[in-house]
Amino acid sequence: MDKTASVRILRVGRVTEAMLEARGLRKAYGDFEAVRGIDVTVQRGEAFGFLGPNGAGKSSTMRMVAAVSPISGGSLRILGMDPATDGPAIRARIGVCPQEDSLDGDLTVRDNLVVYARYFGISRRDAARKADELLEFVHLTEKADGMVEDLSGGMKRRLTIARSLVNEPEVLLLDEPTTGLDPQARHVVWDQLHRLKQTGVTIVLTTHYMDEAEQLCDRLVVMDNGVIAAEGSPLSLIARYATREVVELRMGVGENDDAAAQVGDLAERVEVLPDRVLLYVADGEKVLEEAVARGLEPLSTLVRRSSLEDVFLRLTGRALDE
Amino acid sequence: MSTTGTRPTAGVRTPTGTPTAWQALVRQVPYYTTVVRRTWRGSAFSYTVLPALVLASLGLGLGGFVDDGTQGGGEGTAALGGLSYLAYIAPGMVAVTAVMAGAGESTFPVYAGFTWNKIYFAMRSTSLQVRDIVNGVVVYVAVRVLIAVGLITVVVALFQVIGSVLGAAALVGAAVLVGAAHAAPIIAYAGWAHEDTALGLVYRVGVIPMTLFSGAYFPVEQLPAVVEAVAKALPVWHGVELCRMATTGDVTSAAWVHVLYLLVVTGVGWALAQRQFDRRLGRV
Repeated sequence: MDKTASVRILRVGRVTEAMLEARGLRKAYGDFEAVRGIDVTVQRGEAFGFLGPNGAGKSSTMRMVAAVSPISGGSLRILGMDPATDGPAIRARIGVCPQEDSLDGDLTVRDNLVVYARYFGISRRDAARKADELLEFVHLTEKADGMVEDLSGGMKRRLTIARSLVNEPEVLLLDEPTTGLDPQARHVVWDQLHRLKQTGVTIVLTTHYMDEAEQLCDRLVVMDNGVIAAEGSPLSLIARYATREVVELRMGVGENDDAAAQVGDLAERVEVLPDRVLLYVADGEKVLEEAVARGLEPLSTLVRRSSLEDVFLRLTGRALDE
Repeated sequence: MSTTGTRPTAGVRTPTGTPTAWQALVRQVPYYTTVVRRTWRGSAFSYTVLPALVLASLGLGLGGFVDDGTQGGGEGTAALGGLSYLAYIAPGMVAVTAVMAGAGESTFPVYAGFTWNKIYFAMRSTSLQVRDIVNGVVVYVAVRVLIAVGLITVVVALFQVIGSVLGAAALVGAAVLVGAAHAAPIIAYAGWAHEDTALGLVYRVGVIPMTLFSGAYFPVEQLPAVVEAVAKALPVWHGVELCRMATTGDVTSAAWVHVLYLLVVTGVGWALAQRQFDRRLGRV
């Protein structure tokens, strides 16, 4: 049963089928435009990410995709349906893991799942079976009869993810799935999302963590100020918008600009940040040697691979956490 | 970590269409019964022992003075339409309890649904619609009022102040109606409130003064003419009158006015609640 189900999902996965299709999608709150015309297509089985800083319009986009927030302009189809008219039918087939936990602290861990499943019209027997299965999946079986308020932040998050799966959704929407979690808890969540991906569930997530986007997404869009700044796989974005390696130079106070002028010609591109100078180069070690040979005396240095962080910096001129 | 055995398997049947209003209500029953199961003990005490104490102290104790009141030159029970004070306040107390129960379930629990536990946002991400969530809240509160009124009616019956079985049934119906007429607008208000301090006002400015001067404990005709007019314009008084007709069996055609009035208030409150929930859940 287990096996045939996954085979079936994989077969369907080969057919290209848009689970989500947005064209010129807009969202305005009064005079403020949070989303200013974005085009997005997500295929079945994909893990797709919206990457961007707070206020980029990611959460507004997610609420429209979750069929709870009316669109202000453009068009949006989810599972081929129009959220304006088919909201309940769409929501029956998607799972939503909101940014803020909306678990009921007065109910037990298991009851949170069962009660939520019943909202979908799932029978009592199926709901109970599914709840136990999902508790196992997110490693909360031992907490099943405990109260939600006694769970740690990471456990609550896993329970919220479990809850978003009770209706066996075809698309799972995760808004900032690991924001506020400690590193260990984040890895547990990532592991579970990886396993879900393997079962063929389409995943759409937002994040402002570069490593999360690189870990989980097959493809992503970089969002800034309500528009899409770039689109591609994490690797292709890095290849297109950054060099292979980055040399980070931490200089003394007020020395950044001088340093940039002194060694800028060694790099394809230079970024001067408040606390460091970034040199975008093909071979980091070689450039660092050369810089030191020219008499540069940084307080500390770091040679690393380029990441989506650098892509974002290139595209927006800002670091993600600014 | 193995991926077999622990991965979510297929096999849950999830209805895909848009649920009807009725189906949507049924889908919320498991949640609300879980809530009732968790909280019934406290309410069982509030709606049996406490009203018995009130009837004993006010009805029998204070009533002893009232019923002999003519000795001091007062009107005594004549102003109560010939009823004993116990028989007079019993239906009033049922109506007031219904209003209190309705308000109690409509203030903090509703506010919590938007702020503390955010359950309405959770419901909203399922195949339920905002309309369904509002219906669920109103019906749930009405059922809580029904349970409270059912219990208190048994207590009142033990004091032998209900004329007939039919009267007891009518009392329950009338009390649920006045409870709903207060709950529905309060649900709208709690949906509008953005601070929990706003909820205390419901009691301090609304429910408590209204119920004190509603004809539950003494005839509103005793009040200055202006206050009397205000009291009679408020829904509590209509509920009290209706409950008293039920226990005494002295039903006049005014009953229809009371019923209609309370239904209109309930309907308006329901519509306002719908609007408020729409604002917070539907237009984000």
